[in-house]
Amino acid sequence: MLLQQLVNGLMLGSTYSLIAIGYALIFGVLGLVHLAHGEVFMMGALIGLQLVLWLHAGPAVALVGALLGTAVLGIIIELTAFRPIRARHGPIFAPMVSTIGVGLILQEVATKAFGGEQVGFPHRLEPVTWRLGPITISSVQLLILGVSLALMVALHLWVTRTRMGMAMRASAESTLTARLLGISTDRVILVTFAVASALAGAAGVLVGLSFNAISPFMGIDMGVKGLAIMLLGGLGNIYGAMVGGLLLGAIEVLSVAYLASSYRDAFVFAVMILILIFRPQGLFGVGQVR
Amino acid sequence: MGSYWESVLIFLGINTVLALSLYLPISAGQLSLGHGGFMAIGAYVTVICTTWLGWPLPAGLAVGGLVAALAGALVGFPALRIRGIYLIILTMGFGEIVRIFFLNFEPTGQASGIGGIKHLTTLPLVTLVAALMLACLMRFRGSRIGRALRAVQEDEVAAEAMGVNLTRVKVTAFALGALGAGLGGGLYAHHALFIDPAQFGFFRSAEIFLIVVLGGVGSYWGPVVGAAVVTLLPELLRFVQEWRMTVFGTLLVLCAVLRPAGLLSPRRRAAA
Amino acid sequence: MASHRKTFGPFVLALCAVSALLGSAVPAAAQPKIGVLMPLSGKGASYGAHQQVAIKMFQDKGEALKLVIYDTRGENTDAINLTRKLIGSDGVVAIVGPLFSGESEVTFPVAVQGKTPIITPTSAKPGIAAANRPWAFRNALTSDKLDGALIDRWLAANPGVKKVVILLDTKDAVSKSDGGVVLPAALKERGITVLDSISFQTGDIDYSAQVTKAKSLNPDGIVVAALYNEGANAVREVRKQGMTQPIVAGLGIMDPRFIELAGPAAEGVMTVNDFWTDNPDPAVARWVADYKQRSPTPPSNAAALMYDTLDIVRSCAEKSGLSGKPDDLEKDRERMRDCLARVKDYKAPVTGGTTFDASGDAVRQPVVLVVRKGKFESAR
Repeated sequence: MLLQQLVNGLMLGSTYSLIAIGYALIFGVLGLVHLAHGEVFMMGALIGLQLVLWLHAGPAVALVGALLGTAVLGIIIELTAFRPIRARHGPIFAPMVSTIGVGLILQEVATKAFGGEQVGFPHRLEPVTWRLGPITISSVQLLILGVSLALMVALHLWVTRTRMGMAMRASAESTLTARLLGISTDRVILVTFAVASALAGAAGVLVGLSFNAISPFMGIDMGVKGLAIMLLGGLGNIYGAMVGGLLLGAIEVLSVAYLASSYRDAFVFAVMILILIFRPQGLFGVGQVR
Repeated sequence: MGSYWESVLIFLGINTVLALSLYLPISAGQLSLGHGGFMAIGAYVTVICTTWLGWPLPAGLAVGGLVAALAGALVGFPALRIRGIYLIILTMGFGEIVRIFFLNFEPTGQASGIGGIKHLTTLPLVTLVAALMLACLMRFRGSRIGRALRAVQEDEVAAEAMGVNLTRVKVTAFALGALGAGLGGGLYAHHALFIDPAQFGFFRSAEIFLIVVLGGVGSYWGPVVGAAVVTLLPELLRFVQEWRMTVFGTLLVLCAVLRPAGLLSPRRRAAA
Repeated sequence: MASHRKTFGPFVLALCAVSALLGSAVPAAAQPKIGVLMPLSGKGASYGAHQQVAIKMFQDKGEALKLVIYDTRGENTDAINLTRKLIGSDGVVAIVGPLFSGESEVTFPVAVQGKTPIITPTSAKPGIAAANRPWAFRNALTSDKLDGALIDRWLAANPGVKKVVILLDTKDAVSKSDGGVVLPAALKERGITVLDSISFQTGDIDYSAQVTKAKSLNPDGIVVAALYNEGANAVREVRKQGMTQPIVAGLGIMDPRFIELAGPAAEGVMTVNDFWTDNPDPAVARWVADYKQRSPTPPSNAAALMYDTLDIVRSCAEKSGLSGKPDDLEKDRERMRDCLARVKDYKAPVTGGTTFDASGDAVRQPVVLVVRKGKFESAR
């Protein structure tokens, strides 16, 4: 059973990673926590679902559509809810309040547009299950793992090889210096938001395909977890977020398997608190905690 | 007519108590998103005192508040080494752990909660508690600890250099904040007449946090205004029943954009 | 800072004043009013939407009831405030609602204090009406009255079952009581061993860990106690992991969307309820057909029970000879209460013969259902 549980954990964890990476990207570049990120994830799932229903499309189209759709959504959020505040040098709370507002709006819009209940992808997209020895894996689980890894690799390449990617890292290091170097931080921020939101949207479709539990409120839980993972991995550190997500998935699944699900969240938070106490900068964070 | 508004105002009073209590640690620079946990502790302990032991409400509130304060002090210590966003997660985790504890704790009904609580919270009582807290905060500001708190808020390093015992200030702020939350929880329980762990989850913590930052942390009137807005606005918006949350959310965004330091922000200091 | 306080103080006062104006209601005219509490937004909005359709159907039959409808958002706070509003400002003679058991827990005492009969169409948590007699009633069935018949039927259909695993939602009070107390008792009584109770939480999306654990225990049968969302996901996971054991589920999963969400995995799942959309009974079928014309989704229990509860209330309103005059409000409420307490074998249009027992709980003939070919049908 242990092996199967680990596999379960990896699958769950890879979706967590995608969301946590988004937080890390935004925090890295802006120093802000985007409290509506979970709702962007949710919108990704819903956009994917609508594409499947309207165009009778397959998961691939849903995925691409959600990526694009949430990227656009992310840009809109940046322009309306973050940028105006940045211009006024408000304190740290203001963007948080703003994103809470955005989250509420997205939830209600989703409820009105798609109904308040949980829906699922149509069953013709039902996964194929394979048995490899003691482990059972479904095609969707492999899809999740595959797509997540692919996206992470793509992100890594983008951040290390492309100009825009490197500009983003520079801005994350120091906005002032980046600007002095001629980088348009405003543009970088937009791109960051687009990429982070796209990843969340992809995660939404993957979760929707696998777990069949798409609802306007699915973002809340994911949002909190993604935030916690980002912290675990080290603020703004996308590799930390990747590993942290997989780790969290494993911890969650194992705690359910060997303890009880009702303690799961407590256990997870307790682990995180311990890590924070003994290593406040997270697992992979470096330097001082500001 | 009176009954409805009485209830709304009682909730307003409770939210004010909760907001004022969170204001204390936040003004010491400690962002706490776990206040729901302290509220839960206060609620359950107070109910145990009044329902199982038959004590009058004030006694129950005192005990509930004290136990919550103890929990606050406990959380305050690890919170010393942790700042900013990390502290948010620490406190969020604490809040969740408390909720899950009660979700599994048999004597208090687990998910089924405790019902049949006597209605002991009255509008005068809530107003009294809120007013007392406000008065304490006002007094506090002038006292040594209060000034130490402000110094810490401005610049921790300088404050410490000036001899402020950071540990004492921060832990005290946390503990007192928790005490207030415990009182709020006890008052809530004896008005709602039923509590279960779901009432004190992350939503609750986020709501209280929102109230405080919405009103602005520059002054102790901030939480009061924030509580009024957050409690009354949904009632006010009932005529747009269908789109209430969208309107509320939009207002939040507008507030953040137009008044980033809160509705009652002090005169803005020169940008750094 | 003083100047800011000056602007915002009056602002807050103005807010209060406007709220008061918008919130106050004109005292009752000569027609008796019935209050309705349901979630139209937020938590449970989908159930609320179903109930709205049912209300519309009820009103389209040319009804004599004047309804005052409020949205509780599924929040206890709102439920309390609104109950007071209905009793105090709106002067209703009875209240239908609220939806959630938590909301009922907080509103029932308010109704008792306000001496107004309140009847929830859907709250299934045992004991709440009993604690708030004589004003509180529940029109939803509870597991303790149904599970015995369900297990009997299930065991009759699957005689090889000797040991089971229970999968239950410990965050939902009703499922927790069903899966943690009622079902285990019923199973034990019939000599079935419960190998383990494995829990999940409402809102969970991933059940792989729980099902893997269940699989490793090698049970003969699986018992699920959850709401339709979680139940469907759990059942799907069970089949996905290759488990073929028979599944029996508590009444919490009863909702047409259970089948929709669970897909082919729902086949063969047995449960128990008093309403299902494919009930061949002509009266029910007609009602369902009418409902389907008005809404893209098929009706759930929430809708059926809302409709029937309104019907019972209407019948009582007619029979009790309510005056509807504001002076007689107290008497009218008492008349309603007494009438409701005496409801016996009332032919509710959708859910059938209903009686309210001494605890204020509804008693009805439940039907054991099984999913066959994508539909619920009676497990004869």
